[in-house]
Amino acid sequence: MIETFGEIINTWQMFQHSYYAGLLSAASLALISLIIVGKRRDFLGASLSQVSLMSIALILSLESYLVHLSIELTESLFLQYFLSIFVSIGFAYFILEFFQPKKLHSHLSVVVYLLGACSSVLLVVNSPHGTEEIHQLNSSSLIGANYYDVIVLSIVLICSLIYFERNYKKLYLFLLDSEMASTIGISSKKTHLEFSILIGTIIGVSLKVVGFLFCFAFSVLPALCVIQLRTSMKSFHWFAMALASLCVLISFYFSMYWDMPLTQLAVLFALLQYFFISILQMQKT
Amino acid sequence: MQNNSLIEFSDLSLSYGDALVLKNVSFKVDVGDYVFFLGKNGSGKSTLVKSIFSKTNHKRGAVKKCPSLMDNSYISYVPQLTRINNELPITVEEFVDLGRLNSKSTYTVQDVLEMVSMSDYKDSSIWALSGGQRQRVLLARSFIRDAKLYIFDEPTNGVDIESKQDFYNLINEFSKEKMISKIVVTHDVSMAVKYGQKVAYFNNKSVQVSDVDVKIKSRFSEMIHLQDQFFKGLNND
Repeated sequence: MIETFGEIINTWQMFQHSYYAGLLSAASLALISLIIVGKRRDFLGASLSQVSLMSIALILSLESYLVHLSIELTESLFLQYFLSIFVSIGFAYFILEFFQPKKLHSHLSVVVYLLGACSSVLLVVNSPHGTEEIHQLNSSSLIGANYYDVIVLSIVLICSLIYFERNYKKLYLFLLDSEMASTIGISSKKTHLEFSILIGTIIGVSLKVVGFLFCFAFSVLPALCVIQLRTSMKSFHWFAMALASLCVLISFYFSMYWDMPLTQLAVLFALLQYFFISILQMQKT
Repeated sequence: MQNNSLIEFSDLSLSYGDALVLKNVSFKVDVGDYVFFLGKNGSGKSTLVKSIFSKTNHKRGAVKKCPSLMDNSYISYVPQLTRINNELPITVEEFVDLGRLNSKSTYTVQDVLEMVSMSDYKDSSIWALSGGQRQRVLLARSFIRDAKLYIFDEPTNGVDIESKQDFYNLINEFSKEKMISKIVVTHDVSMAVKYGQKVAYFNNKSVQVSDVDVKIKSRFSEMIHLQDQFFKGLNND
């Protein structure tokens, strides 16, 4: 087992961007898991990941079409990021603001999920490169992360943390008791817009780097664990980030030890963490 | 608007979607008033309360507020317990402290928890408390705002009779010697007659406001007494 640590250190230079990207994505997604679970929209992360995937597929298909016309699409990566974030923010706001009753928003989440899932594959059907890219993102793989992904993810995480630290009490009151929040002047529309920007940006950026499965899992499970562990609202988001990062760190080790894909292992450890905490809580009560 | 008025509903018509809920409502809530909003489900009680904070449902007319209520920092709102998200962890102390947001109050969490006799529970999770204790914590969160207008939206739904009386007694105790106004949205006629000064009855899209005078209180007091005895008897059994 000690040899595995040596292997991680030896290969650090080669995979460091993937490791950093995994940790940063998990921490950012854990941050928004408080909002997603607090708003009781557990499926929102999955739906937004799929529409982000659809927008990436759209750019890839456009790229492939332009190649046929002998035109090269410059800044394709930038466009993928931009559209993925933009579409994700738009759908997040649409679901949060206009579909308040529980039944309606869960229906809409399913529709958005299915729309994203089928169209992302159909859009790239004539592009071998696009098909490969979409399949990779659908099944989640961290290995392709690069220096720029790490920079973008770092900026997104820092900005999100600043927002959380500055607005934590207002944000928590809104999630806990939106009626009281609106009576003291916390605007529902403005808060939903802020939430949508935060959730849309984090999912839009993370999806491009870590893929669908990782995005969905870490946008829900960390908050579900913290809810069971804590009785206080204090540092909820820091606990969620710590639990998510722990899963990713453990998966670094075991993916090397067992020679298994990192993202799927990280999700499996997040699930095990959730089951373990749930069983502990059940025994307590 | 008169000097002693806090809120004046002036020829107000409110809708919920396309449906007209209230038509040509005109009455005022004065400083120190204790008004109970009574009426069936869907009669527009909560819609009228919401019109104090937002103009989204206004079809016609206006809600005039005294200048000190304009930024909502002197309004305190207590929702139904069931509308609070019970999935999120929070301690009693933290819950009460959230009431200080956007307020100019000088009360501390300890002050208001002592007022409702809940200071021993400040580190407990609010979800580990009984229904009656949670009501007290809700009251503490509203008291901490040191507001001029307190609005209670069906605050004692699903609570036993003793906790209900306890709840209204705490409000009376807190508001004693303070010129604060209170609006309670409820279905509970007995509590309205026992504790209220005015009753606003919502029926057929209109609102009738009348004073609860001593005569009415004495006529109802026997019924309330019998009701108390009945519930106490049930508890003893």
